[in-house]
Amino acid sequence: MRRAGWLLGAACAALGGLLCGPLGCTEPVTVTEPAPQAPLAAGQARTVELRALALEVERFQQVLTLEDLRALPRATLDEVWLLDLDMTPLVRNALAWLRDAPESELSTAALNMQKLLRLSPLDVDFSATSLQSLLALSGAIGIPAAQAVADLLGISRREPVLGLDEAAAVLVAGLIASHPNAQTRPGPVDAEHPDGRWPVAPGAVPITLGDVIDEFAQMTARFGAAPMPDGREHPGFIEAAHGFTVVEDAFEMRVRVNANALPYKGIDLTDASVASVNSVGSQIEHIFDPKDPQWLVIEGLVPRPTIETLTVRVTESPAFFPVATSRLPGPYGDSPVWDADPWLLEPMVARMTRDKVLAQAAGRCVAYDIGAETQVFRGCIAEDGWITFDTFNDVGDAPDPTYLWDLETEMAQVRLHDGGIPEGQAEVEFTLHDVDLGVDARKLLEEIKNNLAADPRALRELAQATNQTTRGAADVFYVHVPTGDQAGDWLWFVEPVDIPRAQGGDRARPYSYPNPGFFADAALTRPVGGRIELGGDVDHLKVPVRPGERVFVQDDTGAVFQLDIGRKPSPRWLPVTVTRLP
Amino acid sequence: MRHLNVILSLALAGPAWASGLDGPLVGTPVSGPLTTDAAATWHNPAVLARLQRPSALFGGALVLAHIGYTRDRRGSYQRPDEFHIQAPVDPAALDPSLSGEADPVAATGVAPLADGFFAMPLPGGGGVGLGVHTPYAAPVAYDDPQGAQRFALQEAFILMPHVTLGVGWRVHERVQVGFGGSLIVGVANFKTVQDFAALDEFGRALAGPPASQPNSFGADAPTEVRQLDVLARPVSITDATATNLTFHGGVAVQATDDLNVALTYHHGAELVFDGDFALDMSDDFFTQDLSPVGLAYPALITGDARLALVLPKRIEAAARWDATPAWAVEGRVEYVTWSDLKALTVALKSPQLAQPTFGLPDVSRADLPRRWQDAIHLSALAHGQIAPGRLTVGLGYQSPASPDATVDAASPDGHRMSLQGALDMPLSDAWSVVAHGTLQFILPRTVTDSDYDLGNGTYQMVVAGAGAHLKVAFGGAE
Repeated sequence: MRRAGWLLGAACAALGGLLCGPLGCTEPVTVTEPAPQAPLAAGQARTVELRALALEVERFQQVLTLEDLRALPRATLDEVWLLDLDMTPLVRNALAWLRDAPESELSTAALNMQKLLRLSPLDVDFSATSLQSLLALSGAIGIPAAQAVADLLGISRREPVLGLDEAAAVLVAGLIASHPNAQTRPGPVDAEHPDGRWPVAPGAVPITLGDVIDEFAQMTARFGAAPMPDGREHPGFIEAAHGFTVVEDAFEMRVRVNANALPYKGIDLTDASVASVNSVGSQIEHIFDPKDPQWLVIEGLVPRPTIETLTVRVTESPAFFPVATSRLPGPYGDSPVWDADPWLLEPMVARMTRDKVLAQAAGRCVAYDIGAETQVFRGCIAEDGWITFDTFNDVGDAPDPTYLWDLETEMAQVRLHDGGIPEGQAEVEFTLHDVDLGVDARKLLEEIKNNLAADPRALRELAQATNQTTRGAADVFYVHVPTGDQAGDWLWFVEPVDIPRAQGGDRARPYSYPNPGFFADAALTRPVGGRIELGGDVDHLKVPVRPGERVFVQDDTGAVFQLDIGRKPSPRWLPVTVTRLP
Repeated sequence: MRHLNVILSLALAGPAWASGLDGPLVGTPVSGPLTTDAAATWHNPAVLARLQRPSALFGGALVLAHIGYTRDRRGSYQRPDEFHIQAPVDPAALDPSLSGEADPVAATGVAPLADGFFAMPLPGGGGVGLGVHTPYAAPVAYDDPQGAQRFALQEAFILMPHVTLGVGWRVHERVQVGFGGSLIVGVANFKTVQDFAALDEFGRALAGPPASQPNSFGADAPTEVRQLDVLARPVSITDATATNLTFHGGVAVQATDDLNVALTYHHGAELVFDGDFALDMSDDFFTQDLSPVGLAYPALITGDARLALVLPKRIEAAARWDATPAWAVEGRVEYVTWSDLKALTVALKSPQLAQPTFGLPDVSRADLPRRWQDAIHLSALAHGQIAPGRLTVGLGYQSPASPDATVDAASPDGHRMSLQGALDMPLSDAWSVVAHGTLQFILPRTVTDSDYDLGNGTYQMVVAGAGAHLKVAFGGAE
């Protein structure tokens, strides 16, 4: 039966063939692929037709999974700044963990830091401090030195001198905020940020989509040792970080846009071939509708981001900082600790206690009597923190006046070297486990959405990379404006952002145009057009063109081309004759 | 199911094949339900029982066909280089020049047709016949492939020759019955421009994820979103062949010495053509611009095509009155069930069609509504003996199968008038030649109610044929 069917089919085909001859058969549709063009020779001209087809999509939803995002170049993900993450909660959590950690789990240096956090007046060996003379007095006045210090501070003798909140705030300000990568971040170039560096919120670290996707794999490199603009070297504050739990496997980012989804058509001047240029970037200012609650949806963030292990390092100065001996220079006297780099341990301790003293103890006086109201000792803290001691009735010598925080810094320096650690080697390095990042997903999302809504340009690279419609290597491209004051045909010159990134993160080709833009003369001395605002774009050099007009451009090899605009066959087509000049 | 590819198939609009393009004749104009010649094998095998001698009829004709169409655009269209996908379209994008009459287009061609029959009496009062003939044929090529008809048809070549066997026998001295069967062998080729805007599946593919774009595309798309350059994709189906069997039967009655009547029935058949298709998708929109969201066709898609057609059933009654030994008149009435053809079903299969992201498989099927209506064919003939032979002249009328709603340049149709004549001249006792000619034309048809403005305009059609057949009576007088 199958053979019969085959024979019939063959017979039919033969019949068709026989009859086709005299009757003229239908030839199948064919497509002739354009052959690769040879580069234009000097003096050679070629005409290309550019089409400005627009597919205006509305509420188009782009869904990006973790896998999608991980396939993108890291540089693209890092272009998407999400938020400045306030580090204070994390640092406070870290300090709380350290303060309460079992001593057996800590290194000597960490143990000393723990001691510092737990440091109470009772813990201090005053014999090694400027309050040494207070020890001698204590017998005479019948008050232990620790009690005197505690009274001055307004705390009990067993109460830690340093509060966690003050310690965290100072650590963030001194150690983190001073880091160059926590001061500015890369961002779009605009009039207010001509160098493309945007300030980071004080005490925060900038977080990009790349950080979230790779779970902060580059945190150590970014916030490790780094050169400062003034030549100093910041030691960094993250020695190692591992096991950030920020996103789940089901992480998904959905963005809803209104935009022309099709690329612009342009010309690769080298061979006068038609190429495509991604159009999303130039529309980025108005493709999102922040009023639409679905304009950005991020799912799959863990409710409470945590870090499995985090090793923090605080460097100690090789020098011992003595207390101030003079109230001048103001406001904190002559202790050299105030001239030290802010990220060092000693100035941070000084700041911690200074803040506490100024908040809690300024203006306080304590006096001790012997017998019936015979005052023998008095200590007073002035409003600026300067502490003076007085003795009466020959009970002994009073300690020299100084700033209270200097005294406490001195105590801390002494305490840190317990166990025989030499000066300058008491770097505090401690590893935290399962630390809460200090921010919940809901707040994180809210902040991310607010930031991206305020400046959607952060999404430009991502939007282009995930809708990669650029083909070829256009030097100029055609934009048609159908209506409005600027209606007509425009030629735009490519910008670096129009060149997609390769997987490694670099641009697929270098942007090496000696004279970008359009010119009225072949010598390229008279620019025409400019960075005219058009459809929200101010980044591109552009020029309106009409049939019969001529402009000159130079490509990235230095060759100069003459572009003659031809007669338009329809509104959205633009014929351009490209002539390479000798 | 979402079948963007259906899109492709649907486009093959109605092939240029309707009652309007029935083959002009089978045998000679004289041949018919009451004509005792070998062509009765097809027309009415009952008459084979009246054969006295083995006989043959073979010959051919050159057929000139001319179709004229002037499209009258009554809808609003956006400029072809625009791409607004949802109505209503911004009036600024509409093209006022795309209204009213377009430049006329025409398809004119000459095609040969041939057939041959052999029949012989059987002992006991019966007869048997065998023939090869072509009751359906449509070679059409419009002179301007890019004319206003291009979305219906650019060119087509359809032939459906039959190999027919018929048997008749006498059940009564005056009554004969007959049955026959035909092997239908079909050959079809088409070329047209598919408007993707008219495809339900294309609309659904854009409306669903991942694009999720509301649009007005689909079979009921308004004119505002139709006929855009980017969505106008040339497509062809070539080397499509089909085979099937059908049957027919009839009865012939000599009611009186002067009056003969006959009734015949031709069963229809479904023909499934298998061939090759080629679809030009060489527009950046389809090949690269939307590739990030998963739409990326090769510039040329090729694969297997399947097209299903239904041939109608026919019931015909004829009566002939022999007014004198030399003159007779004959009337024929035929009812053709073109309403069997609700739609054309087309399926394309190619791995290149698959667009998984859009949920589009590598094969799809679709129907193109035709909604044809039954037709009545009337004809009257006069036969007379004149020197040097016997003359037959006739005129006829055929009602249109295509309604205004679906008629288009692919299946032009109308009230068809026909004139025909034949002169049967004996050459010898055994041989004679029948010279014949036929002229058919439709009354100029102006359509204003075409669905979606697809076929509004004025249609003209003329089919003229001239040829000759040889008749042979074997065995001589007994």
